[in-house]
Amino acid sequence: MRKHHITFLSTALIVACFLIVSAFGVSQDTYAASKVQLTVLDPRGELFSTPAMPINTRLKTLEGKKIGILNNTKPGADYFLPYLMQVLKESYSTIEFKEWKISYNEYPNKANDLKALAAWSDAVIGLLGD
Amino acid sequence: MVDQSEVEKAGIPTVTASSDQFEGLARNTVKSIGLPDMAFVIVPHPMGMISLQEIRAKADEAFPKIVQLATQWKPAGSAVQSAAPLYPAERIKFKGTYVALNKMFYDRGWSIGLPIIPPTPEAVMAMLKGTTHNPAEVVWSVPPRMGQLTVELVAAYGVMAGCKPEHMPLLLAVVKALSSPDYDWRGSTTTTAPTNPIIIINGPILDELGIGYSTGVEGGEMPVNVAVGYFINLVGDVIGGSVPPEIDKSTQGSRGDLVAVVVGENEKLNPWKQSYAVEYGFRPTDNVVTAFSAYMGNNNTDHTSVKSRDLLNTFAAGIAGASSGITSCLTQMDKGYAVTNRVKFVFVFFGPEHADTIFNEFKTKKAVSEYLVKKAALPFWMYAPDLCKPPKEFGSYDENTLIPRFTGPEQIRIVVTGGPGKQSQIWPTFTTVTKPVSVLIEK
Repeated sequence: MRKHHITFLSTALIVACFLIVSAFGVSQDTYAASKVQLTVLDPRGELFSTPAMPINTRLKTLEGKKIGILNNTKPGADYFLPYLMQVLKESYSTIEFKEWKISYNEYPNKANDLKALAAWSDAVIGLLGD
Repeated sequence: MVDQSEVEKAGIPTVTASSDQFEGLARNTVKSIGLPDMAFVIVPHPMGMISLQEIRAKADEAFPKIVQLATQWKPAGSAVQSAAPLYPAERIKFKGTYVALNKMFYDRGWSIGLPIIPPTPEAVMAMLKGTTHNPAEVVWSVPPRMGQLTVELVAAYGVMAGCKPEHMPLLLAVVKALSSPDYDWRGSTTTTAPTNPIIIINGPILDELGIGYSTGVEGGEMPVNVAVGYFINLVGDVIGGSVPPEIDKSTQGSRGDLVAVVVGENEKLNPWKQSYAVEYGFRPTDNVVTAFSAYMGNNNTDHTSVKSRDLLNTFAAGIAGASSGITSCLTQMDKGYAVTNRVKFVFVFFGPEHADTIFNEFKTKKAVSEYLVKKAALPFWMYAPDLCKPPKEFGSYDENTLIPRFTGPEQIRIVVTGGPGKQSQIWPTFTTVTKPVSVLIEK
């Protein structure tokens, strides 16, 4: 290869390298330029401030007690709860049960049903889930 | 859990057997209502649609724990939740790229994964110019997290979703509708069902704000509709905390849980002239938002029927089969939620061409609804067990007897929306919704 060809190729290679490095540098500058500094609101909102209420004292025994059964009418409740009552009755022969079928958003009698359930019962067993 | 908590508040100790898949939701719920120490027995999911043998095995396993929690157990005791000022919302300084900002919002649970517009104090102040409400006013304790949504935060979410200051009255009306007990936001956003908030807008505001009501009304390229729909889910997920899988239990989710369905009624092409809002007691000059929670809708694509009745018959098929498996028969609008009164209304979004064909014979919307009430029926065997128990007055029936889903025309609600084309949609309401909620948009 003639000397001037080598010189030309070398120069072209150097220029190409320079252009590549410069392009990378420009990208970095562009990236850096897209950074912002701002203030934003925390959108989460404070939680409703409810004083934590202690739950009620447990019964000393289930013997002789009136246990309200809160059936949420979901599938399975009509099988799970009767069997549970049967098993509890086998262990506590004087236990008494009464069942209330109360759907989640039942209207308009739900509040009255819950009051009646609470009024009758010494304790309540309920369900959650499908 | 809300029901059990009422019993605890009445002074009666409770024990709840909870499916393990719902434990997170249960604990979140009792914390938000101030009873963090309620007693749970965790039972492997599911408790329904399994064999009797499996149910008994789960009950046997739960039995000793139920007895223990009912008699001996003493909780450790939880700290009292401290009050904090609601307004103004805390300000956070950020430095970085917009990509990093969006990542921060998502990582902190401040967004739902789609890009947001940063709620800077300046942008929020600009939004607040769209209302005369006090920014410190609390307009909703959003279930199930019970985050306090102030007017300031309504503006912040509006900014994030791409709304404008002139949208503030609409956003506040939407919040008012969604927060109604009749909507049942808590149930809708924590259920396993694929629920979609549905918003229908009526009135001069449609053209004033450029709200979509014609071709592609539920799709993209509807900046106002999409922004309002996005706003709704930002509020629900971020401040309300309804995030899968712990709290939002929706088995497969739904697109409306990303951007809610927001439609304007196409009042100009409604052949019955009476808009939905006017039909339900508002004036034509009123701007009204109507909201309800819906199961996944289905569509009617009848391109063949020329006669009104033929077309309505195909709608009857779609209405009868909508949200299959959860629907009761012979439901009544004025009766509350019960196993035998599930999914007690549907909305039909008639495309204008379908509406025109139906109008040829049925000159009032009530006549349309009355026809569909009779025709939207399933054979008894198609109803899920226990959901269809016809009363004595219905007469004798066997498994092949056609039994209607509804009993009154008010249970089939009609809206005309969309553009040219023979397409319509049927949206059945989520099962615990009492009725659609209509709210006047303040000027």
